[in-house]
Amino acid sequence: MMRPIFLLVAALLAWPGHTLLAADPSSIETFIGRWKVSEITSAAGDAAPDALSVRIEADADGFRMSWHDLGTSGDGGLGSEDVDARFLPSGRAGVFEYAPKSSSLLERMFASPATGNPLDGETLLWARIDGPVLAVYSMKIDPKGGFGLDHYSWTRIEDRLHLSFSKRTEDLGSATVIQGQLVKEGE
Amino acid sequence: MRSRRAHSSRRRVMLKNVLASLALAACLLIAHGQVRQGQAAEDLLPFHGSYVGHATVEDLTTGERHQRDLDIVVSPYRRHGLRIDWVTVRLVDGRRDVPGVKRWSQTALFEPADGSGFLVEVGKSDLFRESRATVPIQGDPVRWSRVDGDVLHICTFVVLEDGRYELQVYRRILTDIGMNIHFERIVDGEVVRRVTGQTARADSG
Repeated sequence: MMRPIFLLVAALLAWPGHTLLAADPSSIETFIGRWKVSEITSAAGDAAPDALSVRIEADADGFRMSWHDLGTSGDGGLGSEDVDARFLPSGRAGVFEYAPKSSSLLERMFASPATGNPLDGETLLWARIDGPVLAVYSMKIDPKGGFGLDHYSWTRIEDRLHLSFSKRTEDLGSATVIQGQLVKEGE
Repeated sequence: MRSRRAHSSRRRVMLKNVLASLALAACLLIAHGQVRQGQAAEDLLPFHGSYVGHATVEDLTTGERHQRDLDIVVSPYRRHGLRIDWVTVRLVDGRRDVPGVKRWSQTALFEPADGSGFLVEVGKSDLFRESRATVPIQGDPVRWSRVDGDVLHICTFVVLEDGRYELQVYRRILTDIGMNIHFERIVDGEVVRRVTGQTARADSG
């Protein structure tokens, strides 16, 4: 006769929700979709709501995403450049490296992960997934030795994504430039 | 026939002129690079010397504070580079002559980066070790240095095992009597450690 504990385990495994128990903390699954802004909670500059939109889809062992580069503007506006980047596993759990291809001008600025080194004037772009958090980083060093580090973080909270974008430079320190809530399009 | 010879001669002259222009441009580029490197080395001169002092270390995650003694030597490295040797002593109740004292000794070497206004950390040359390209995404640290007026900046950046980043920013600021130091260790945007200190220039015996 089966013990109650085995019955409980068997019931959990049979229940569709068991995927939650076995969820891979570095899975892109929970972020997939087209997300649009529902609320901008704080912004340091003029942010068009569309500037916060993001599209995320699975791609081979990694994922592909399109978003607006909130860190590129020089005129106070945000989200002036579009980025369409593919990320593949780096060999470190939960860490994804940029897989280069040549389409947009901005994208060509990001370096190949195999050789990408900010000391050579290349922008290093990488991503990290840790459970409900998807983060994308870019790091560059200018010709005078100053650095710029952009940090996007999308956190899945129930049916929404909470976006936080911050940038850090040596002279200005860290500043959270924009925060907002995103909802999935079509829901 | 004569016209063909004249044409060929004109082409040779043109080719010579182009080559001469290219050679001149290359020389100017090299000279410009050397001037920039020389300028960077000159900017470092005011920092050369020995410094002793103390610092307060704040661990912002635990709230702990420690006192440290500092011993820093800034000197030239090769033609246009920079060498920094520093010794840190962690005190126990403000004393360095009791059990529990810790001592660290470190050295960093920098040389000018090609075509840039900053210096890049280089390892001590080792003929028997195979050199390998730096791959930051695999966790190789990136360290560089620059001078901005009376501030010597040294930054270290590394992508951690879990994909977060760590950034260390070290500023050494010249003062009338020596050098103040300001250090921050930042993990994924959070400042987790801060060190502030003062040093005085010391005569080397």
